[in-house]
Formats: sequence, C-alpha cells, structure tokens
Amino acid sequence: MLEIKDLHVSIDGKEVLKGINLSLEVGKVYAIMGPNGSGKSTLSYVLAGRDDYKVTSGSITFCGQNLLEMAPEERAAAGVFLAFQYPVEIPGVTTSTFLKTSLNSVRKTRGEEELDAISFLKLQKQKAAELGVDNSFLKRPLNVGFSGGEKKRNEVLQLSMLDPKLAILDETDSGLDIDALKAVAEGVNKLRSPEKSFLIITHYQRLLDYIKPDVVHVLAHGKIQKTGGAELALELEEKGYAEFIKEGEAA
Amino acid sequence: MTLPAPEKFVSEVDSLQDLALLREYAEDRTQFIVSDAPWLEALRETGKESFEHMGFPMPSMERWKYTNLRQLKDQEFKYQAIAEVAGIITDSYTIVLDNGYPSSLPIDLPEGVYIQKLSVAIKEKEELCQKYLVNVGNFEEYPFLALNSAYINEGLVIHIAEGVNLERPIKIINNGYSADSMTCPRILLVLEAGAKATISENWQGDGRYFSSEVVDIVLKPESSLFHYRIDNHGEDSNIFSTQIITQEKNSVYDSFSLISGLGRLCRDVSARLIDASVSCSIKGGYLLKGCQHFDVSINTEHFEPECCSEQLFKGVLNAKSRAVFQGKIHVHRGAQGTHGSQLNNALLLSEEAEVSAKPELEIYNDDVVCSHGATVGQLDETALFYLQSRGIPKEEARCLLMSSFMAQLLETIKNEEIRDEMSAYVAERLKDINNG
Repeated sequence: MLEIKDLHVSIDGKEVLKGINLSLEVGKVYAIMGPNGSGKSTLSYVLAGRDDYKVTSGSITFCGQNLLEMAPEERAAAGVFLAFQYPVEIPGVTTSTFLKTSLNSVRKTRGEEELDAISFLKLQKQKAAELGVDNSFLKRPLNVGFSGGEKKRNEVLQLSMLDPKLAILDETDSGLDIDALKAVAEGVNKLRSPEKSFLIITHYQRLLDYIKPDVVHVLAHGKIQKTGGAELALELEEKGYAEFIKEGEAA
Repeated sequence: MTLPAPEKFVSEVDSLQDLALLREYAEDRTQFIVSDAPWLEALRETGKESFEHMGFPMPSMERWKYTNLRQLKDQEFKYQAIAEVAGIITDSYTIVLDNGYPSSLPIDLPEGVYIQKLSVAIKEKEELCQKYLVNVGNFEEYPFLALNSAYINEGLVIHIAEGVNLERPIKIINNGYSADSMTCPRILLVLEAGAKATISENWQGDGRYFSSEVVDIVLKPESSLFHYRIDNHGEDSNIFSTQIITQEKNSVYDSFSLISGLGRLCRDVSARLIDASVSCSIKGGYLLKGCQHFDVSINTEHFEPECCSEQLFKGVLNAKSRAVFQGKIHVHRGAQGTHGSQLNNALLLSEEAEVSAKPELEIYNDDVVCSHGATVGQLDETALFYLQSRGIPKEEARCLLMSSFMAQLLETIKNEEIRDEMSAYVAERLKDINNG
C-alpha cells in the first residue's frame, strides 16, 4: 500500500534522509526505531506533507497515487494520518468543533456526504466511549491545558474518527508515564484491523511491548540500517544504538 | 527683536486660510434646523474657531503621527445636516440612522427611557443638552470634536432615568451615507444613578463620504453601560469618530467594538474616571484588508482611587492594510489603588500589512498596578500543518487559526446573544479578509 523508493530529503540545505527504501503491506504494523537525529520524525513529516522538507529525489506511492504531489489535506482524505509527537494547542476552537470540521472536510474530499450535527455527535460519542475518552474533554479548546497523556489520547481519537488506511505514530510514547502509555496503546490496539497499516516511530522499545509490531526497521544516518521482526526491538533495548551510530560515523 | 517664523508655522497658517471642510461654512449654516439657543451658537463658534486655529490634523501632531491625512485635507464634501432616507421601524428598541442622523425612532419604550432626536431634545431637555454638549471635552486635543461642534445640529439623545434597568439592548443602526457628504452627528447618552443599559450600534455605508461623529457617554454613580459597536464602511469612507466617556462613582463601562470593511476609520476614545471605584473596559477587534486604515487612540484617565481600567485590542491584517493603536493610561496623583491593563495583539497575513502600536503609561501615584504590551505575529505554520494534516483545506485552516486568535477577545463579551452574533460576524469577515 505504501512504497518508498530511494527517498532523499533535505531541510535547510542539509540532507536528512539519504535514500530510504520501504515497502508497507496492508494490515501490518511496522516500527521504525532509531537514535535521536536519525531522520525518524522527518520521515513522518514528509509522509504527511509538511512543506518545509524538500524531497530532492525518490518517490512515494500510496495506494497507487503519487503522494508527493498531494497537499497535506489531500493525503488525509486519501487515508494518511499522522499522530503528532507534539499535538498543537488551538485556543478558542473546541475539540468537538475541530473534529467535526476535520471529519467533514475529509468526507467532502472523499466524495461522501458531510455529517449533520446529530449524526456527528452520535459518532463522536461512540468513538470517545470506545477509547474511554471523557465527554467533557470534547468541549475543551483543542489540546489547550491537556496533559501529555490527554493530548496523545486525543490524537488516537482523531485517528479513530478519520479511519485512515495508514496511521503514522510519531514518538507517541514521548512524555507519557506508564499508565498513559498503556491507555494510548490500548486505544491503538482497538483500531488495528486487516485494512489498516501502522507505522510506529519510536526511540524506545517500551511502546512496542504494548503494540506488537510485525516488522521492525532501524533508521540511522538517514538510511534503513537493519530490518527484523519484533525481536529486533528487544535486542535494541538491550544493546542500544551504539552499533549503528558507529557504523554511521564510519560511513 | 523678532525671530523669523519657523517654516512649519507658516504652512499651518496656510492651512488656516484654506480648510476645505469649512469653506462653505456660512452657507452650510443655513441648513441648521436648530439655531435659536445662544449657548448652541457659542458652542458652534468655539468649535469653528478651534478647528480653524489648529488646522487639519497633520503628522506633525503626536496623535496623528501614524495616520497621514494630507491627501484628505483638500478634499471637498457637501455638508449634510439631517437624515435623507426615511428609516423603517423594525423593532421597538431600534433606532435607525441615515448619515448618522435619526430617521426613525423607537416606539413603546418603558418608563424612564427617553430617546429623541437632538434637534427635539434641545427644546424638550435644554438644560441636560446644554450641560453635556457644551462641556464635552478639550477641542485642542480632539480636532474632530471641534469640527463636530462647529456643525452641531442633529443627532440623538438617550437618557435613562435613575434606577431603570433595561434588559433588552437598544439597537442603533446606521444604514448609509449620502454620496460625497460630510456629516457631523452627535450622540449623547446619559445614564442616571443606578441605571443599567446595553447599547448595540451597527454602522455601515458605501461610497465616498466624510463623517465626524461624536458619541458622548455620561455614567452617573452606580450605573452600568454595556456598549457594542460594529463598523463596516466602504472603500472611500472617511470616518473620524470621537467617543467621550465620563464615569462617576462605582459606575461600569464595558465596551466592545469591531472594525472591518474598507476605507479610513480613525477613533479617539477619551475615558475620564472622575470618581472612585469605577470600572472601565475598552475592547475591540479589527479585521482589515485591501488598503484599509484603522487608527485608534485611547486615553483612560484615572483621577480618583480604586478604579480599574482595561484596553484590549486584537486585529488581523491582510494585503496593504494598516492599523495604529495608541493607548494611554494616565494615573493622576490622587488615584491610588489603580489597576490598569493595556494590550494590542496583531496578526499579519501579508508582508505589506503594517501595524503601529504605542502603549503608554503615565503614572503619578505609587500605589498602582499597571501593565502594557503589544505583540505582532504571523499564522503559526506548525498549527496550519496540523490542521491540514487532519484534512482541513489550507484556506479553511487559516480561517480557523484566525478565529482562534480572535476567540479569546470575543469570549469577553458578556451578553450571550451579542457574543454569538459578533462571533458569527467575525468568522464571516475573516473568510473575506483571507481573500485579501
């Protein structure tokens, strides 16, 4: 469903991704692990379409479409979702208003009918209940004054509402205590399905204790250095990234 | 020995001799419909003399440093003395204006509420009118107040009797202006002790016009006024509005104004807190596009102890629009226990838009808590990307962020109905200015 070929990306003239090749199959969970500064977050932003990253060469094909030619909102409608490492606070716009605007924008682009207020509220209530999100949370301004855990749960709620084909979780575990981490992981696990792929970007192995990946890639120095199964994550947890950092330095 | 006159002085003498706005004054006078009261004649004379003496405001005056009226100085407008288009009464609490003058007045008002044309009120309530019209403020400081006084003739008087609590807002709607007209309406609003009212004004117009309007508000002890106003004028409009607020003990003034549309709008607000424990809040938003120019200058004066004042403006500017915010809190010697805050936040959508902010504090008392500040920013790219990544199209996402920026200000509107109206209006205007 997602095919990345020889992807090179620069920011402010500095090359961050130096030839990524990645192929994602539908229904599977992928983890990308790597040390700080390896280009993990850059990859997630490039997939979601942030325009301050410059793709110098390579291609990304998503469900047969050239992703690089699409605006971020078009990618969202096509089924790409990025859960942010640092969700943005938007005062004065309630979470519920935001969710409705977001969902109806996506539906409109997909050629589906927009939901009226009642149908939307019903869906929102159902999704929130499934994820154990309190209703009062929806009336608060988007992410304003939310704890780290609340922000990440809000991301998962958005993920659930928009029902993408590919969900990218960028450092979803950062800043979470163990209870919040479990809650978020549980939410994600509920959303796993044969139609949905996940790309989990993380520095640490601990999130992968709760969301079990099918494939683990190690990203360092802008390239995939190693690929394996879930056991690779455990191995990294034990040994750290030293081996890849050295390799990179040598190269 | 006499020194040669400086060059600047000579040019001001020139302007004194040729003020386009006053050129036809003798003929304009024949249009006055109230002229027999000697105090009124004296007021007009003083106004005319003051305006002539000062000349048209130029950037050499500190107040007009950021608004250049040179182009306007020699333009001619035709004096309009009264309403031209008849108003249609839509609501028992609505006053309809044309050219800023009443064209229809409300009916069936509750007891203690007096609403009348100025020309009639001068006869019916001469003592009240004389007292406030004459002592409105300093002509030297407010040239357009002087001009308005030179032409004082028609307007509106609202008087709320002692202890009357008006639940419903009084609405004032100005539908338009005559082409190439100059209008000088005067609105006098007096709330007697303990009275409470809400006034909601909506001013619009299209075409070329010049208006020098004055709203004079007098709040007696323990009275409260909630004052809302929308201005939405056309491209060739020139609005010079002066608001004078005088507050007595324990009175509350809470205002919110919204400026959009096009053209040039300059506003002077003078709030005089002449007794203790007064609360005065002057807030507003400006949503500018095209070559629109908005200039607001607020002077809040604390004379007595334990008063609280606030000046808060927020604006979004696109294209080549320009905003000027000059706010001053003046704490006089006797005003211990003063609380004052002052803030202007602007969001610039284009590289050519410009905002000048000058928040000022002048304090002559030690026991004072005052804050002031100004910020200028742009739309947050990360926030924009966040919204887009959730499927919201870029232009809509921009509007949503602008709404978010204005939301904090709109939340301060106490009247729920008006808050909803204003919020919807702001959302609509933001879409409009986002297009340039």
